[in-house]
Amino acid sequence: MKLKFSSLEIKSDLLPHDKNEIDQFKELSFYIYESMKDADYIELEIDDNIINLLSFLTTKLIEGIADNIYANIFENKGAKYLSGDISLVVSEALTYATLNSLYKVSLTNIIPFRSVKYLGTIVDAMIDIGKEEELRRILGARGGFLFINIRASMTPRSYYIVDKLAKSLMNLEMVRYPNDYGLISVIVKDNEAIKENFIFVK
Amino acid sequence: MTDCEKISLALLYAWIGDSKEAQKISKECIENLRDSIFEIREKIKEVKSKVDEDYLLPKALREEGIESADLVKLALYELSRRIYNFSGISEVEQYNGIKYTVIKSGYKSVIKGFCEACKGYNIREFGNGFLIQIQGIVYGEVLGNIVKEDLTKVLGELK
Repeated sequence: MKLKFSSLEIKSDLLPHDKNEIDQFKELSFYIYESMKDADYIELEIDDNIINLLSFLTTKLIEGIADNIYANIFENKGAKYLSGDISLVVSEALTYATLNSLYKVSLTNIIPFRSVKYLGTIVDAMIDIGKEEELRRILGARGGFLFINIRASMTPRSYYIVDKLAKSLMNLEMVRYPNDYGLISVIVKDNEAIKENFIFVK
Repeated sequence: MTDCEKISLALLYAWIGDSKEAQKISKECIENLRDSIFEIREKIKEVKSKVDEDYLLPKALREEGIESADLVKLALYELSRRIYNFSGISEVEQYNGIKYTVIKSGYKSVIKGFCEACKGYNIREFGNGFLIQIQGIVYGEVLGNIVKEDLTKVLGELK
């Protein structure tokens, strides 16, 4: 499966944490969205078999994920709705597969928390980067946790993505602040392709 | 955190249907974390009621002594409780250190397994399908029925 992939990095100092600062998550998300739109995308090839096997990490009981991705992109939609459950599972699987193939993250080192997200104090997944050399190199980190939030939309609208980005950033800060690392993975359908954006928060 | 390092393995065992192993790991995790959870929960509640804006919460939590690791502990506890409660009873087959189950769904059979000693990436053709091993995780799809002897032969090659 081919993806269009791009990544960017933001410093956590930009985000407001204190009472003397103004809540500017929306504005920041808008800038992130703008730079996502103009970013250079590389073509990333992901093994379909990995995607199917990743169903052990996904939140909902959906099998044959690769088939579902192709169905979402290429099949005649007709009068049907695209299922939110499917795009949730697709986005999770694609994010984990990208982490595995691009950053060499071991699959059993990913802890998915989406099924307990009702706690309100946790993100979608977590990786202990003490065990991941490539991730440490990319982030310039010595250790700690990488907290991941995953967002997807198969019928993307700008206001929707900006809104979700703001919520994700706030959600990430809850567990990440002050010393750990964050990642928001945004997956959208763009014509007949899937675009994936990694936004690292350092 | 170190107490529950293996929680992803519990998910993997639950995936292949080895719920006993999954329950064992998750129970260990629950017992390790049980004592500290109550305090963390209460403190989070307390801080949440004090803060009026969402964006101030991270800093307020840290000031009250709730670190990232504590929030992770809480989530790990809840996740392992979920794994523990929702595991059913089912049996796995074993061959040469590989635990696996064959799931028959109509005309297709799906093989899910886990092999602790396997490393790297390995893919084999099997019948009119395939069998793949990535970092110990085994997955396969085959059309039609599976002859057990053929399957164990291919599984042996995956190491």
